[in-house]
Order: sequence, then structure tokens, then C-alpha cells
Amino acid sequence: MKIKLLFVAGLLALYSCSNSSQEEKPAEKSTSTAVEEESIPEETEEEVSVIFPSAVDIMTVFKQAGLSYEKGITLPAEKHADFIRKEEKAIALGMYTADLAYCVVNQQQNQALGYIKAVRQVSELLGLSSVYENEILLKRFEQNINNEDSTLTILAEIQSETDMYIEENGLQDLAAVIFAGAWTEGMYLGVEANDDYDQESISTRVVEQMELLDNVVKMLQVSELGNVGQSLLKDLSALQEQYSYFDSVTEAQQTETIPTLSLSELNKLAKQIKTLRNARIQ
Amino acid sequence: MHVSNKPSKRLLKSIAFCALIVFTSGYSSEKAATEVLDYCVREKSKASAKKDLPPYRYSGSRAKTFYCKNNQQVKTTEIELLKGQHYRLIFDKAGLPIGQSVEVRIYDKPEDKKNRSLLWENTEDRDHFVFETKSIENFKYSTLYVEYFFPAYEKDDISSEVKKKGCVFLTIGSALR
Repeated sequence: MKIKLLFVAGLLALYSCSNSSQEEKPAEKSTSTAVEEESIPEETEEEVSVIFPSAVDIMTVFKQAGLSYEKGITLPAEKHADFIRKEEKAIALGMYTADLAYCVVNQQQNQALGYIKAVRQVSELLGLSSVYENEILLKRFEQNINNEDSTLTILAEIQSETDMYIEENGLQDLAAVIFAGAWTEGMYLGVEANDDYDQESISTRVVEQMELLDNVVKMLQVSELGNVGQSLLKDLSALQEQYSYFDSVTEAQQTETIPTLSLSELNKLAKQIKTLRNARIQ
Repeated sequence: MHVSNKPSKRLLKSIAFCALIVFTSGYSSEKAATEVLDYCVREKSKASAKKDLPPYRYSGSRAKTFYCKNNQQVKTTEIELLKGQHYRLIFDKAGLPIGQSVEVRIYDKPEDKKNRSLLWENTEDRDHFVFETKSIENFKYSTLYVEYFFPAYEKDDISSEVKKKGCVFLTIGSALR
């Protein structure tokens, strides 16, 4: 009995000591702190990180360059269930995000409703369901579907919630694949719906996207990828290489100016982007 | 000679004391290798930045995390921008442990380029500060390099047993409409 009592007393003393030591440390700052246990390598956080523009911003500048809405070129919203592997779903999520932005900036309300549902469903399949736990955001989106400014603001809020979830859960590798999917679809829409608009404007925006691609490729290279991600990385790297050999690009590099792509170069790029994009949705 | 079956008081105390020592040392060594105090307050920083965003619209965010060290550290975040557009960058350093400071500088080129220019640096000692691309005449950059310079941690309470982790939270607003 005495042994038991002494042991219990010892445990209580130990518990109170460890508890007080935990309380003391965070008290040096008024902000709430968390004590967690994890193995700590010398440097767990990455040295360089990249913040990309949102899909809404990319689609807005394409629209400003004269991109119009073309029916039937986006990835069908009902196809979301066809993506089986995790990286396929991540690519699809990025594509649907770009399609959603494309519909919203072009005031295609009904299509936008279909895409926000697809984005939500694929997000949930990827384990990002907590982003949509709050139904209010989606209800607000539906209620304000005819108000472009409101829908864009709600999309920005969803983006913010998604970014936070990815960051808090260390899902940067997944985020790189999602952004690569969004980039692919954005470029595809940019070149597919470009029939009637100014070549110089679209060239400027395409060149800008190709500069973004450098960092997309870098982020994929440092990510842990499966077969699907590796295949996308390979195709994007090939696209990057083809672009670097364009006459306008090599000339611009020599003169340190921004290239203006010729119609033939734009067409070559468009063809490769379409092949790359369509290979992801079959 | 009388031999008692009951253990003596001294023996009981000794056993309990040894058990306590063994248990405590095992517990301590396990904790020593693993404890991290994380001061990063992402939700608070995000909420704080949200107030300063309008009329800009949220475009992206990133917490630059670090561990407090006895030596200085430099970390970089690249921001890809769309040409001809304006942005607001909101920095929140509420997630820094006391005794840790940070200097934020924005450059037009990466560290390895010799002719890079300093575009902006924070001079105010506040938890929250803002940079707007509009403040630079003829702003034409498509990438910004945000450099976080963390001087050596001022306090001497870091050890191999307890590591302090913090962050600077950056939110980007775009003026695109």
C-alpha cells in the first residue's frame, strides 16, 4: 500500500513539474502557443518558397488581353469522379479551379455553379474537406452568382482557406501538383479561346505564363511525386525546352528584352499544350 | 531472531525513489529530443491581414517559418506577379518569439545576381506592416524576392532539448478587377 502511495505521489509530482514547465515558456508572449512533439531535422522548412498568382488573377489578365468565353472547351464538371489516383485528383482540382475562374470572369453563372461543386467534390476526395465545412461560403456563392464582384470575393476566401489548410498540414507537394494542373488548364484556355484577339496581347500573356512555368517546374522538381506527377513534370519540362528554342525567345535573351511570339510559335506552343492537357483528362 | 515478512520503510522509500528517478530520466530524455515550441499564429495573422486587404483582393499567402538560432539566418520567398498589375503585401510578425526580430527587404532579383536593387525594406518596429507596388514609380517587375533576415536570437534559452519555432506571415492582395 505504501509503495503504491509513494508511487502515485511521485507521479503527481512529476505531472505537476512537467505541466508548470509547459506553462512557463509560452507565458513570455501573450499570443497563444502550441507545444508539439516532433522529430526535428536541422532544417525542416524550405529555404526558398514561391507564391503564384491565383487562378482568378490569371484568367482576369487573359480576359483583359481579349480572351473570350468559348462554350465546351473546359473540362466537363461531371468528369470529376473519373480521377482515381491522388495526383490525378490534384491535377483535376487545379484544372477545375482554372475553369471555375474562367466561367466567373466571363459571367457564365450556370457553368460556374457546376464547377464550384466539382471543386468541392474533388477537394473532399483529396482530404481538403475542412475547407468546405463552413457551408456559408458555398451558399453565399450561389446567392450572389449574378454579382461578379461578390463571387470573385468568395472565390478569394475559398482560396485563402485552402492555402491555410495546405500550409498548416504541410501539403506543399500536393499544392505544387494542384498549381501545375491550374497552370495547364489556364494556358490551354488561353490558347484555345484565342481565335479573334490581338496576337501581341496574347503573346505577352503567354510569355508571362511561360516565365511562371519555370517556377512551377522548380517546385515540382523538389516535390515528392508519384508516377502521375512525374509524367506531368516531364511534359511541362519538354514544353519549357521547346519554348526556349523559339527564335523570338533566343533573340530576346540576347537583347535582354521580352519576346513577342510569332503566330507560328504560338501555334506550336498551343498544339503542345493541348496534347499535354488532353493527356491528363483521358 | 525475528524475521519480518514486511519490507522495511527504508527499503520501500529506496524502491520508490529509484523508480521515480528511472521514470523521470526516461521521460526527460524522450522529451529532450523532440520538444518544439511553435509561436506561429497563422489564423491570427491571417485575420489581421484580412482587415488591411480591401480594396485589394486576396491572391495568396505564405508563412515563412524558422527556428530560433544563435546565428543569423536569411530566408527568401519569391512572389510571381502579373505584369502591369498592382499588389499589396501585408506582413505580420505576431508569430515571432520574444527576443527574435526580423528585417524584411524586397529585391528585384535573386541573391546571386550582382546588380539587384533593393526596392523596399521595413523600417517600422511594428507587428504589422504593408508594402504596395504602387509606391514604386513605373513598377514593372514580374517577380519580387522577399528576403527575411533573422538576426541571432537574443535570448540564451534555446537548447538542443527545446527548439523555438516562429513565422512571419505574408498575405498578398491583388488590385485586379
